[in-house]
Amino acid sequence: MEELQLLIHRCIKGDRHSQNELYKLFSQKMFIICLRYSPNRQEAEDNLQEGFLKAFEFLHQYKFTGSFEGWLRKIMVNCALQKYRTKKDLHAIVDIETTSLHEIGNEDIISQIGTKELLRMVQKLPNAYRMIFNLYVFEGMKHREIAEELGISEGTSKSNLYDARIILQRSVTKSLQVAKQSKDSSL
Amino acid sequence: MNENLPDIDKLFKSAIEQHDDIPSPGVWDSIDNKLDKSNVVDINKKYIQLKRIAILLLLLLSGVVFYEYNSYRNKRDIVKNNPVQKPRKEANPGKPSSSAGLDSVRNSLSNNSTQLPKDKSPINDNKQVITQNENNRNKSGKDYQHFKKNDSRASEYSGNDLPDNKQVAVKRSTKDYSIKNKSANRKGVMKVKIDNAQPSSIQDQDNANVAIQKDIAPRKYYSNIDLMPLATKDFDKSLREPIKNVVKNDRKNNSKKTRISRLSINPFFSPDFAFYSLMNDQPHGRGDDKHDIKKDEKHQFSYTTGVLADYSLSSHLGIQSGIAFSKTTINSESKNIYAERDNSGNIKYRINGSCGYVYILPKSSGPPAVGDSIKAVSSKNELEYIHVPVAIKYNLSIGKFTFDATTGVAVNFLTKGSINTVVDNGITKEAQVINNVEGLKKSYLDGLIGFGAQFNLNGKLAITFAPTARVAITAINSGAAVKTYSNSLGISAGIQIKL
Repeated sequence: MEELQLLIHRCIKGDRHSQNELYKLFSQKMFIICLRYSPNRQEAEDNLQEGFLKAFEFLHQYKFTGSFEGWLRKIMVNCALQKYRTKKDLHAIVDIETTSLHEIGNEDIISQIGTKELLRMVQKLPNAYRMIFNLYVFEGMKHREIAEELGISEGTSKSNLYDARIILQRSVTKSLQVAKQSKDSSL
Repeated sequence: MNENLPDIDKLFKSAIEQHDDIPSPGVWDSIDNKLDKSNVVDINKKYIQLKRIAILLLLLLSGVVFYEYNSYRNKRDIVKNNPVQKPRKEANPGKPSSSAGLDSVRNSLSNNSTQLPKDKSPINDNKQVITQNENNRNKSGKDYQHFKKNDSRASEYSGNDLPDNKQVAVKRSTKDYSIKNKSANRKGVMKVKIDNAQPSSIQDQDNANVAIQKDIAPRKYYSNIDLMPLATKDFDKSLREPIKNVVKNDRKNNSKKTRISRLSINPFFSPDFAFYSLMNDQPHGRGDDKHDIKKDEKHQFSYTTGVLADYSLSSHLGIQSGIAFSKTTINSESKNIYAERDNSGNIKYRINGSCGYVYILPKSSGPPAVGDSIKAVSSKNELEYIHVPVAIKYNLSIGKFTFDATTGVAVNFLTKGSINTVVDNGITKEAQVINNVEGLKKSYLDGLIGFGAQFNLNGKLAITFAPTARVAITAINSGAAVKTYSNSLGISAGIQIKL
């Protein structure tokens, strides 16, 4: 912990080597956040870059009272939100068909589909759905807060989240079916 | 609703949250390059204040240079329009030498003085009025010789006659004499008036010189009058006392005249279009970004009113100062405010604005935890300042209109900074007024530039109209989420009263 504080202090002084160290320490964790909020890897890398630049710019304002990772995470999420606000499209029209996942547990799904595939599903969500799903599920925000953050009504936030879940459920089912078929054919 | 939906949340959360991914190495390279650039930007920002001050000083310097050049040009024009004739050569045959000239002047005066009735004092006769500079009163004959040498015009007056109904004016070095002679020969009394207003400035002196040169008599008459004996040793006490009184009265009148033309006051009122320029300073959390703050805020009616005093340095240039009161009102749209620890460690809701921030704790809601939010339905931010400007003014008169350009600086002293807000906790609404906005500085500096026009109703009154732009040199706050530079464009209207 003290090492991290020293590293941060050196970064505040503008030591480029320390800044690189800090980047290496947190870039992987932050990159996954950026991936969740972005439709593709390229945009996620842009967000990551922007987020770290902001973090270095305002590092002197970090009070060492809370988790540094949490502080950095907030910056990454804000960068993603800012980018989203510039190219808002809230009214995605998606053909949704409901499916059921009664038969199989979460751990089995992860083992069968893989985390990267699940992440890809989130990335494939329409922008508005992806934002709301991320803010609700990963950041733990309430619909009222999401609505204010994105400038939409609470109702829109709820319905978009519902739609996002349906899409993801369908994608998971399809992936499971594909996995099952490939398993059967290999046998 | 599908029963499995919450499981989907857990599925994705558990899978993705524990997952890491490595970004491409190009990301750090880009960050590295941009950090270099941002350092350059920081340096630019660091010196922005110095740059502003430098521009202001440059403007002031330009004003001074312009003033000096203008003065020099006026002097040159005066000299050009009124060329000083070179003294005639002493060796010139038929012309008196300087000492001979002096003798001839003295002789002519003695001849002239014989024409005056000895029993009749010029003062008692009430026909001779003499005004002269006190400094010259004790001048001796040596001074007179000096005068003869220095003022080439003196040697020009070599004639012997002093005509009737002629005004004779004599300039002696930098001291002025004008002598009015009315019917000296006819009535046997020489009327003399020596105007001796001490020039209050170079320009006044120049103007006086022009006046003298315009009124000056043919120089051949000059040598007929020996002024010095009259002005110095030949006056008895009875003559000197009235002269002193005349001099005093004349000085008073002149000094009054000087004051009349130079100072004026201008009560005014100016509706202002105020706009803030924001820079991210110390963002704290959500909604602290300059774009978010700017988006939420709307400037309402702002105004400046006060009294300005103008002091003319010359016919075109003047300085302006005074005191004014300005009020700016900013409304904020409905937004969520979040709880965090205030400067004393208590958890309160923080309202951020362009001016600064305040912490509030609505009575109707329970003690919040860090991160809790509440809706601020509306917020009104009021700022009041006392404004003390110092400016240089350039005037140009065309007929009854006078146009002017003004540039200068002003110090603004904060007299009131408050935020009125209404918070809604979902059940009730509660109004809160906070008079201590954190981050607001007690004073700030701004530069002003304006162009105005005034319509002169008469010698004393004029209607003024002046669009004026005020640009902040320093920020109005520090240590807040954003640094705010207050700019405004005002259209002031007032009445100028010349004192």
